[in-house]
Amino acid sequence: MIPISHILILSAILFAIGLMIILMKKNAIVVLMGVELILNAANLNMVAFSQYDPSLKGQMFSMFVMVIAVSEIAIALAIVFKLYHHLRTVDIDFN
Amino acid sequence: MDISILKNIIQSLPMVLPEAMVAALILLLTIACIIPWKKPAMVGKSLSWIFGIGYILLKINQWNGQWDNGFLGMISLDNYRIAGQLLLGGLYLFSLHLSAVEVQLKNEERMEYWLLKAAILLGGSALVMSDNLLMIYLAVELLSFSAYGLTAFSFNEKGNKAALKYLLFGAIASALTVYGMSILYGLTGTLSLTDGSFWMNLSTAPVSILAFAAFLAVIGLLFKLTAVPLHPWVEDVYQNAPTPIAALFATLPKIAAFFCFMGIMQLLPPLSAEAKQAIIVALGFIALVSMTAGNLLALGQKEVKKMLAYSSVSHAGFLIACIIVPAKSAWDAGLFYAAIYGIMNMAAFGLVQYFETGKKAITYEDFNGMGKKHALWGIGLVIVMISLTGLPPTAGFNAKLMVFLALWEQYETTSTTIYLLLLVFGVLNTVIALFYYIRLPYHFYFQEEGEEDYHFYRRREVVIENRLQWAYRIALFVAILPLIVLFFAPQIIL
Amino acid sequence: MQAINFYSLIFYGFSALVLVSALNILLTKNVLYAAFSLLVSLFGVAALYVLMGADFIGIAQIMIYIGGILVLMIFGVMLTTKLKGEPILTQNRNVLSSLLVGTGLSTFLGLIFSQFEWANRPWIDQTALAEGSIRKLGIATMTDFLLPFELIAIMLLVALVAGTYLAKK
Repeated sequence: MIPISHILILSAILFAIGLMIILMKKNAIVVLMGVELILNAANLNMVAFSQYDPSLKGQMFSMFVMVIAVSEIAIALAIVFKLYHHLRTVDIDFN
Repeated sequence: MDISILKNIIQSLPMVLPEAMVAALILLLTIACIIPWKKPAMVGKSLSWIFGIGYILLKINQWNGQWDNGFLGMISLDNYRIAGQLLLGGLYLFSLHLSAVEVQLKNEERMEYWLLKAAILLGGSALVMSDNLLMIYLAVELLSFSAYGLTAFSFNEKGNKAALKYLLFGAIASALTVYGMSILYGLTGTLSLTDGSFWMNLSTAPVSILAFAAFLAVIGLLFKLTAVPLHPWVEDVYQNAPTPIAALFATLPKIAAFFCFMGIMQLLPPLSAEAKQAIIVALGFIALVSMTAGNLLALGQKEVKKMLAYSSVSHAGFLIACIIVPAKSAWDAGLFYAAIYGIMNMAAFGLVQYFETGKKAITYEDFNGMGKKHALWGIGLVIVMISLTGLPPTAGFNAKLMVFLALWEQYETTSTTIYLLLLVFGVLNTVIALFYYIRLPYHFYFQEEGEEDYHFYRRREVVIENRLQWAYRIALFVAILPLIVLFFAPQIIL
Repeated sequence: MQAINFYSLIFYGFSALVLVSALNILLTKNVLYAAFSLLVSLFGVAALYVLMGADFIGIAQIMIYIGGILVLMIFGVMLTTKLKGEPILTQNRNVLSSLLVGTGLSTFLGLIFSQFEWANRPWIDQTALAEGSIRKLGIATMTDFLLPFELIAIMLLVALVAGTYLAKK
């Protein structure tokens, strides 16, 4: 059995990498990839904890998170696509 | 499989009957999307109105009902929450009216537009009822998704840019929220906030992990409240989304998040005193920074809608101040403040929309010298702006006063510094707010229209048809009347 | 003993895969490379799910993330660039500050997570190790999680309508 803290450290590093991608990259699609990494880190936590939970609440939560991630990406890409039509670029500048 | 579980589910079905009504509206509108109607605007509008009113009637029917936890601890309902949901329903109907008189973008003919609006109501209503981390997360996401879509409904470059900014902020906020919730789940082994073991387990958790996880987990709600670390999107979104949509964003999600927060704070007591204290100080600090930063940023704005956007950040600060006072007076104050906030912001955006549609007035300067021709509108403008500032004789005054009183009482009983600080900063901010709110009536009445401006604006002016003129008048009357009436008779709400 | 060691070997191997490919997203400037690194990373996460006894989640991860999200993303990359044979690059901004935030955060989290005895949480039931989760998940969807399930159905519909309408318009 892998100790929970090891999985938590893995997910924490994944979380930090995702955050760094969000802060660092200019391309909106790459920023969304960073968001996906954070969501995966959270899901890893959930699944790791639900190993010890007979009612599997963590696994259920991670299923919902996945569905939300898909819909988020669908809307995001629609907006990115429209923005590309207007600006010819998908780089973000928050000004 | 236990049969009692199914019994519980069947018994709790009436709790979500109004929400089922809104869900039915969404499904009907989806079907209506694919039918080539002759008058799509009529179909969308009337369906939304019928179901919106149905929602409110069913909610009134739930009033004073004996509601326990529903759906195995997913949601709970009491009179306070029902009051919040009734408020959401009212705001939804008002924004339907504003959308119907918005003529420039022709959004009323798009069935999808009505669908996304209904989804905002559903998300808000679900958020108010939620008592479970998963439900809170889902409701916040439902609110966000429809909001991202609606922001882009002005179909221009700026609208899309604002939508992308909103979406990225929202996606990051939601990802952080999930991460925080996952750690909370690890600490407690449950997702239900009403479960006693949730708070019991939290109080034995180490402070560093708990603080980190709890802060991340409330980010989603703070994002919906537009509290300060999560506010930078607000300016672009309110400025570039269609105005009826901006009016909806400024009110409905915030009020829903506020009531959800109130529900969570009600469950806090099992926590240890130090933990409670830490939460109150942290939220109090966010409230303080929100009201001050929102005000200062609003001072520097040239466009009226951006000013309203930042002023809504500042009002979020006051709402959070109500959240952290664990007393009956704060509950009443919060309900009253939320109701007045919703009404006056709807009125303000309605006015802005009228002048934007007819006169193309966007910045303060555009309002120069309009007082001569539109004296009656000006009276409405003055009332709304005074109410937003929080001065008598408007209900905005009562709302602020009640918040201040609640803060003062709490300070006297507990002598915690944060309450006094909030009180002092609240009063100071009211004074600052006076400058930018009153600037609008000042430009309206006392600034002369420049000569070159005159011809320029006359050329841009669009004649609003008579029917719409009346629609606007009725809307404003409906929104402004309560602001005066509630000043003299605040007991109507309480 | 041998089997346990083999298990942890696979586990840490996949963990390393996840981290290395996630780091590659951060380091590479080529957007398509980033997308493929994400694919590898998500696949590694799916393997970890399976190793933790969450077989259904693992398969859902492969189907939804790799089959859905990544294909969408790669389409997104291709639709929003003029393909002329040159690589699609992304610029970096505030590199130093974000690296500082990231390393600081990961050391902080690593410290607080490793110092805490998670297995001693009162709710944790060492005997309840989950196995064969599909049946339980199915029942949970229709009982405990019925309301979220209905809500997310509406949410998918809303996202679908919003996404298609915006892209079409």
